[in-house]
Amino acid sequence: MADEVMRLEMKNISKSFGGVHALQNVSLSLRPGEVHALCGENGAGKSTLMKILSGAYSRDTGEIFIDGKPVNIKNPKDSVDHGVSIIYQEFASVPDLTVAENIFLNHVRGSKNVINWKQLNANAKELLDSLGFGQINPKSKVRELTVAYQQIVEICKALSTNCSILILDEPSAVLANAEIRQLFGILRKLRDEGKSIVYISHRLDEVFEICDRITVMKDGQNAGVVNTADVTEKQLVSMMIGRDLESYFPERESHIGDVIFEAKDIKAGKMVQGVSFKVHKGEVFGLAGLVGAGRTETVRAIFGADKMESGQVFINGQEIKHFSPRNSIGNGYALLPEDRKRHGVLLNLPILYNMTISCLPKFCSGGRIRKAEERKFGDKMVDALKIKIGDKMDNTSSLSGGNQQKVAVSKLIASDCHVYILDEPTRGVDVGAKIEIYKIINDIVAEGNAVIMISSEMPEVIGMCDRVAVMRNGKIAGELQKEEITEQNMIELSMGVNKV
Amino acid sequence: MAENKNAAKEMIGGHKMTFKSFLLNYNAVVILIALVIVACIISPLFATPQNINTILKQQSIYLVISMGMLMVIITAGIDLAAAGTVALASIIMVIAANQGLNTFVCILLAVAIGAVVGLFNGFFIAKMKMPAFIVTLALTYIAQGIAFMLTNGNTLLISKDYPIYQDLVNPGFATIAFINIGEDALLPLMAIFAIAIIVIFFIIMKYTKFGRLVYAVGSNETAVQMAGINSRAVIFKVWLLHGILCGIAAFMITARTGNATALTASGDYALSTVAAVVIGGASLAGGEGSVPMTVVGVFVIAIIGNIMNLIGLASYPQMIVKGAVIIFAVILKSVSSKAHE
Ligand SMILES: Nc1ncnc2c1ncn2[C@@H]1O[C@H](COP(=O)(O)OP(=O)(O)OP(=O)(O)O)[C@@H](O)[C@H]1O
Ligand SMILES: [Mg+2]
Repeated sequence: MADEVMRLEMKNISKSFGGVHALQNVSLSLRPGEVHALCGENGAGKSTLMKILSGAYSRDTGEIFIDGKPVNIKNPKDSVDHGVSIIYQEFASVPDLTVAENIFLNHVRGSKNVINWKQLNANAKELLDSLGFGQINPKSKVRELTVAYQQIVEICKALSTNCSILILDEPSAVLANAEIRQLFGILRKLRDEGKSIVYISHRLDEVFEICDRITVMKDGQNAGVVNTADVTEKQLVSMMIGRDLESYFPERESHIGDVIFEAKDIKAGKMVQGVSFKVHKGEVFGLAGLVGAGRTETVRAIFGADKMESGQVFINGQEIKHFSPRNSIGNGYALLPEDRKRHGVLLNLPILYNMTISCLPKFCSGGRIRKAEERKFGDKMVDALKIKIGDKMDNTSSLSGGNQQKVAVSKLIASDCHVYILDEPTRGVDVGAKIEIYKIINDIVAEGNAVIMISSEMPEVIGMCDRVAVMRNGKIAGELQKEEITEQNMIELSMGVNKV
Repeated sequence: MAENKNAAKEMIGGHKMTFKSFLLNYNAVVILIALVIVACIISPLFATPQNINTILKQQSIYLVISMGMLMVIITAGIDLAAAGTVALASIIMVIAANQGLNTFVCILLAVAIGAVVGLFNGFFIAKMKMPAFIVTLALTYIAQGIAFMLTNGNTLLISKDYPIYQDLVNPGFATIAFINIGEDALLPLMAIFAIAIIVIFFIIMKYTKFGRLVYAVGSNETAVQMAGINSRAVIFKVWLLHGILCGIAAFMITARTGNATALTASGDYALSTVAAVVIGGASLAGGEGSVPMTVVGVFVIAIIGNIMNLIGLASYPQMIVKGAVIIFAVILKSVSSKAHE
C-alpha cells in the first residue's frame, strides 16, 4: 500500500490572483481506479486546483506527478497529452456548433483537413447511445439544448478522448435524478476500468454514494483527506465549514393567503403544452419534474423571455397583456434564469454593479447614481449571502461559481417584486450558503410575497415547498400538498407511474 | 520567523501584482509618457506653446468624436461612418452659412444633421437589430455620395460677407487665446470646448444610470433584458448621442478651416478614433473602456503623428508607425492580462 504508485499527485500547489491567495500549499493524490471527491465551500479553491491540473491556469509553485513521473503542465494541450480530461464548472462548449461538432472538437484539430460529416454524426450518435443519451440529436446546435443536455454534451466531449484522469467540476448541479443515476453508472464503469476520477459536488448525498475518498479544502488550503466509509455527512460538513450545522432547512411558519399569481393553459413550443397553476401569497410553490419536462421553458414563457403561443397570466387578478421581461418585472414578477453565465450575470462588470442593475432607480436622483448608498446596499448583500469576494469592484468573473450564483440571487432579490420565480436557485452553492438562500426565500414569503421554485434537488423541494406541481412532457402531471411531498410521490408523477 | 518571511514574500508578490494589473489597465498611460519623453528628446520644437496649441486644436475634434465612439464600442458596436457624418454636417452647415443664416442656426443645423444620422443608425442597429458594422459600412458610401453631390467635389468656403465668418472663423473660434504666452495661445477655445465635453461624458459614464446601463448592455445584453431593462433603448440613445457629437465635431472643423469639403468623408475620423478607444483599453466585444483612457488613446496617436511631423517623416511611413503602435498597445494589454492568469 505504502509504495503503491499514485495515478496523480499534486504537491504543495499555490496560486494567487492579484492579492487573493486562491491556493496555498494544496496537495491532492489520486489512486488508480477510484472516484475521489473534492469538497469545500464556495471559493475554497476546488476549481482553481483543477484548472491548474488541466493547464487552464499556471501554478505559482508546487509539483505535479502522474504515474510517479513529474510532469510540467503549461497549457491545456500538455494536460490532454498526459491523459487528463476535464469538464469545467462553467461550460466550455461552442454554442453555435452542433452536438457532434462539440463532442469531437478536440479531434477536429487532428490530421485530416476535410471533415466527414456523416462519419462525425454517426460517431457522436454511437457515443450518445452507448452512454444512454440517445434522445439528444447530434445535429442540433448546442445553443438550443437545455442546460442539462448541454452538460451531458460536455460529459460526452470529455469521454471522447481516451483519458486516464477524468475531472468533473459540479457536473450534477444542473442534472436531475435520472440523469445523475445514468452518470453514476458511467463513472462506476470507468472506475472499474482503472480510471481515476475527481468529482466535485456540493450535493453530499452524491459524494457519499459514488466516491471512495474525499479531499476537503477550506480557504485555499487542505482541510483533510478521508475515506468515505469513515465519516458521516455531519462530520464532513463540519470539516468543510469549520462548524456544525444543525438543520439544512430553516424553520418557517407558513401563512398562506389569497391567490397572487395564476398561469392558465400556457403553451409555448414543443416543451410546454397547456400548463396551469396558481400560487398564493406567502407560499413557496415548487415545480418539479425530470429534466426535459418543460419546467424551465414554462417559466421562461411566463416571464416573456421566450415566446408564448397561448395562455393567460394573472397577477393579483389582473391579466397581463404583453409578455416581455421588462413588462413582467414592471408587473411585479421576476425570474432567476437557469443559465447563469448567459442570462444571469454580467461577467465583466464589477460585482456591485451586478447587484444593483435591476434596482438602479432606487439609487438614482435625476439620473445620477448615489454611489455611497449603492455601496452600502452591496455590503448588505455580501453580508447577507456570505459572498466570498476580494472587492466589490472586482469583475464578477473573478468569483467562484457558487459565489457568482449568489450574486445572481442578490441581483434578483433587489428587483423588489412580489413573485419570484427561481430556476435552480442553489445551483452550485455550498451547504452553508444554501441555507442563507433558503432564509432569503423564507423572508420573501414572510412578507406576503410568493416564490415559485424549480429545483432538481429533491430534498430541497421537500424541505422548502408548501405545494408542488410535478411536470411531465410539458404538462402538469399532478399536484402535491405539503404532507404529500415525498420523493416517491414526485418520482411516480414525473414518470407517469400513477396518479395521486 | 517563517511567518515573517512569508509575509515579506506576500508583500513583494502583492507589489509585483499591482504593477502588473496597473500595466493591464493603464498600459496606454505608460506608452503616452514614453512618447512624450521621446518627443522632447527628439525635437526641441515639441514642448513649445505653438506646437502644443497645434496638437490641441487638431485633437479637439478627435476627442469629441472619440467620446461617441467610446460609447458605441462599449455597447459592442462600431461606427465606420463617423467621417461621413462629420462631412455631411459640415457641408450642410457651410451651405446654410452662405445663405446668410444666423451663426447660431448654422451650428444647430450641423448638430441636427449629426442627430439625424444618429437616428438613422439607431433605427437600423437598435430597432432592426442589424450589425453596426454593416449599417455604418453602407452609410459610409451613402454619406460620401451625398457629400460629393452637394459640393460637386469643390471646397465650399464660408463667404467673408456673412456674420458667421466673423463669429467663427475670424478671429477664429479655433484660435482665441485663453492663456497667452507671447503670440501663441496655449489653450485654444476649441480645446476648452472639447474638455467640457470630455468632462460631461466622464460624469455620464461614471456617475449616471445611463452610463452604467451602457456598460451593462455591452457586457451581457440578455442578462440586462432579463433584469427588466429596455436594452435596445439604451443602444438607441448611444447612437443618437454619438451622432450629435459628430455634429458638434463638424461645427468645430468648419470653424477651424472656414470651409467644408467632401474629402472630410474619406478622412480618418472613424478609424483613428476607433484606434484611440482600443488603445485606451476598450474591447471590441463590448463592456469595457473608459473616458480618461480614451483621451490618453487619442493623444498617443496624436503624439506619434506629431513627432513624425516634427522630424519631417512623410505621411505614408507615418501610417505604418501608427499601425505598429496600435498593435503594440493591444499586445501589451493581452500579455499583461495573460500574466495576470
Ligand atoms: N480568474 C480569477 N481571478 C481572480 N480571482 C479568482 C479567479 N478565479 C478564482 N479566483 C478566486 O479564487 C478563489 C477560489 O475560487 P474557485 O473557483 O477555485 O472556488 P471553488 O472552490 O471552485 O468554489 P465553487 O464551489 O463556488 O465553485 C476564490 O476566492 C475566487 O474568487
Ligand atoms: Mg468551482
